Amino acid sequence: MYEFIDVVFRSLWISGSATLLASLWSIPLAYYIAYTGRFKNFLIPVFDALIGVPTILIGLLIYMVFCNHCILGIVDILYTPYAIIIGESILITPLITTISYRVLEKNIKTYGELVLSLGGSEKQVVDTVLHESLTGLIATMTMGFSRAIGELGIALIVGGNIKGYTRVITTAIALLVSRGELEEAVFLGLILVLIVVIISFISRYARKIVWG
Amino acid sequence: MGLRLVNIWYKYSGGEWVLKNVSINFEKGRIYVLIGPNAVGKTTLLKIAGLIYRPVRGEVYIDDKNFWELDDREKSIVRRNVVYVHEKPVLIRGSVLYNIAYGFLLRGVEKEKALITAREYVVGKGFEYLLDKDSKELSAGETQLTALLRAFILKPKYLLLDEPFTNIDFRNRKKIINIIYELKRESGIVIATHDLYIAEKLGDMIYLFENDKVEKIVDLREYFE
Repeated sequence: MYEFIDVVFRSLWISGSATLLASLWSIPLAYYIAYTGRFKNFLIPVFDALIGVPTILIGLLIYMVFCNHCILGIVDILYTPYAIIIGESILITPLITTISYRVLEKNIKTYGELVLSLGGSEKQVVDTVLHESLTGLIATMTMGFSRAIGELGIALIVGGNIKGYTRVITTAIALLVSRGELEEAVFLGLILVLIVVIISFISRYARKIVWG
Repeated sequence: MGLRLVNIWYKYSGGEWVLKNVSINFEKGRIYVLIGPNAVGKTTLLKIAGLIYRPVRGEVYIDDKNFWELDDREKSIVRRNVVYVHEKPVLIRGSVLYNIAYGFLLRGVEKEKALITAREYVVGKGFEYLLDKDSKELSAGETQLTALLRAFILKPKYLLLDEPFTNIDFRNRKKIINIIYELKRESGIVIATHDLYIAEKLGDMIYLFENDKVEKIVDLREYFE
């Protein structure tokens, strides 16, 4: 039981960190594309396409960057939780960017004009747009988190499924299935679904607290 | 002095010219009414006058300052002289009171003071029944009233109203017209409308507007007859 709890909490902090990290660059990027309109006809379709990229492929690419004799091998983070965080954050970047873009594009037009029409400054446009987009952005981050916590390929390839260190829910399920321990695998699977549902409810509740 | 649009050309990206070499002046102490067919660029002209859209060609002078050549800091200061109310008003989330105080908050007024001033203003104008409603619960008419009050309370030098009476019932229409008359003493007011009654009743100057010309109408009835 202790091992299960350990795996669940590790999954939460790894995927949570990946979501925060991805949001750190994806939301400003989405704002830049929506505000300036630059590269939107190229970047948004590309990101749309990348949402469905297989996680195993991203895992492989991250591996080829961080392996011993690879370009960033010196950083020595392969088979650590940090490698999984980086991989998952790259995985969910297209998802968070494109959905944030759609939320922000509409709000920049609507609230941007409102702020300017009332004599506000460009900086106040940014403040108001982000404020009015908060619920949409929280929902987007929740989707990113759900995608991150449910992926397997990255965690397996760059995490290595090391017990007590990089083992997360999905890699633990894969291991249990390979051992034929189906009951435990199903139990962990249900916990995974439960986490995603609970996070979704917390997100809805947070949005209600923000805006009533 | 005044709000002057000089040789304005404008088109949306990838589209046709909406405004072609349009010039018009607005001065304080007068009400200007723009009438004209649909889709001739009245809203676009108001947004350019409202310092929201930058014209592709031409200049916008506000009290003899070429607005689009000012630095960002000066722009922020000058922008406070012009307020535009959209024909489909947008409210931010929160109460009507918060929405009406929002212009003050953008001007750096302390929140508590802004809310007190807004409440006093709205009560004074006879719209107290709106105050504690949430912006999500409003009808189209109430939304428009809120947006108008949010603009009126700022008493800007230039007030631009795009179809301000579309959803407003006759009682409130009378109250709004009275406020517009009050504001006229200190402001130049521009109203775009299809409502000829409003045009005739309020307009000191009535302009028939099309993409490439602005024609002053001396007698509205004579013109339409």
